[in-house]
Amino acid sequence: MYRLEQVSKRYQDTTALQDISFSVGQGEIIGVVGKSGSGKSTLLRLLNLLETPSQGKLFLADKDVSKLSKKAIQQQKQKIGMVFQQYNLLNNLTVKENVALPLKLIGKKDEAKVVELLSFVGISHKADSYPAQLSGGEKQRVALARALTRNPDVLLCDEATSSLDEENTDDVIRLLQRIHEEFPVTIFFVSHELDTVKKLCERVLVMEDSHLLGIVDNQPTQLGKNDTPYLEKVKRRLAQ
Amino acid sequence: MTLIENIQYYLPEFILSLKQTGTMMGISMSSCLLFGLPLGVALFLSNPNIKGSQPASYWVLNFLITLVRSFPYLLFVITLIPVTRFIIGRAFGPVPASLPLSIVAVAIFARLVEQVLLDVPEEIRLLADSLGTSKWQYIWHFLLVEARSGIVLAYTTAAVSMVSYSTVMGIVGGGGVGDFAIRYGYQSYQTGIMYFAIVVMVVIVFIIQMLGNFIARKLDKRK
Repeated sequence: MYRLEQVSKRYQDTTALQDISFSVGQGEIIGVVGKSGSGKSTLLRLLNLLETPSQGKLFLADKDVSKLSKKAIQQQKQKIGMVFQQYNLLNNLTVKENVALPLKLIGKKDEAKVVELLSFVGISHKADSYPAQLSGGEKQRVALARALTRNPDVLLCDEATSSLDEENTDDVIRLLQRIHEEFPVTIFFVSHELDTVKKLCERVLVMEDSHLLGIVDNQPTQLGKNDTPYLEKVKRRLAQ
Repeated sequence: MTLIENIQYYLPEFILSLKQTGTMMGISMSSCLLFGLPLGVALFLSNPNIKGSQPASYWVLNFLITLVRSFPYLLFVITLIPVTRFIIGRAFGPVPASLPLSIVAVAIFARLVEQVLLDVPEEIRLLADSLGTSKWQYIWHFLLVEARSGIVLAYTTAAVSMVSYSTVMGIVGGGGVGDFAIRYGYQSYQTGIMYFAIVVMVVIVFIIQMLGNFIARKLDKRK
C-alpha cells in the first residue's frame, strides 16, 4: 500500500523527518508511536499527501507520489480517510450532513450510504443532532463514519482516542477493529498511548527525534543491543 | 402647534426622508454583501498568518481598507464628488450619495468578515486539506458554514454603522432621516421634530440589531 524509501522532510532549518524507510501492505493495522516532536504528525501529513518529501521516495499503491499530477494526487486523496484527535466536525452541520460532506465535495449524493454508515458506527439515532449535542465518543464515531464515506483504501487516525475516556477509547478501538474486518482498509493509528496501540495494531512504527527507531511487532520477543531507551520502553510495554 | 400636529405637518417630508434613507441603506448594504464579503474572504486568505497566503495582496488590500476607514467621513464624501459624478453622472441625490456610503460599508464589512474568519478553528482547515478540497470548496463548504452566524452579526454591525453614516448625506443632497432632523428640526428650531427623527432612527437601529441577533442565533449551532 505504502512504501517509503529514505524519506526526509525539512522545513527551512528544521528537519522534521530523517531517512524514513518502511513498507505497509493492504489491510494492515499499523501503530505509530513517539513523543511530541518526534515526527509523527509530519509522517501522517506525508501519508495523507498533504506534504511531499524533501528527499527520498514515497510510493502509494506502487505509484511514485512525486511523479503524480496535481489531479492524480487529488484523486488519491479521495481514497484516504482521516480521523483527528479533536474530531474536526463542522459544528453548524448536522451529524448526517457532516458524514455526507466528503461525498458532496466530489459532487455525489448517496443518502443510503450515509444512513448505512451511521448505523455501522451506531449513531443513527443522532443523525439530525449537531456536534455540540454529542459526547466525545459520539463525535469520534461521526468522524469515523465521515472518514469511511468515500470507501477509503487507507484510514489515518491521528491521536483518535487521546481526548476520550477509557470506556469511549475501548468503544472506538472496537469500532476500528470492526472497520478492519468489514472494509479492506489499511489503518495507521498514531498515538502516544501504548496500551491503546497494543490493543489494536499488528505492527508499530517507533519514532524519536525525526527518526524511525524501528518497526516492532505487537508481541516483540527480544530486545535489540542497539535499542534506544525509548524503543526499549515501547518493546517492553508491547510485550506485557 | 403641539408636537403631534407638528409631526403631522411634516409627515410627507418625513416619509420622503425615510424612503431616501431606505434607498441609501438598500444600495450600500447590497454592495456590502456583493463586494464586502468576497473582499473580506480575500483579506482573510491573504493574511500572512494563514497558511499559503499571499502577503503582498494582503498589504495592498489592508492598506486600501484602512485608508477608507481612516478617512474623515464627511471629507471622504466631498472628496468623492467628482468620482461620483464620473460614475453615476450626477453627484447629488440619494442614489449618488450611496456611492461613498457603499465604499465605507464594503471596507467596514470586509474588515469584520476577516476578523470573523480568523476565529474559525484551525481544525476546519486541516479537515478541508485532508479531504482534498479546492480553495473555492474550502471557502463555500467550510469557512462560510462555520462562520455564518459571525458574518450575520458583522453584517448587522455594518448596517447599524451605515444608519449612522447616512445621517450626514444631506451634504450631497442624499436626504434621509438625519438630514430631515437637521433641516426641519435643528435649523428650524423645531426641537421636538429633531427628537422625533432621532427616536425613529434609534428604533430602526434596534430593529436591525434584534433581527441580526435573531438570525445569528438561529444559524449558530456551535453551542
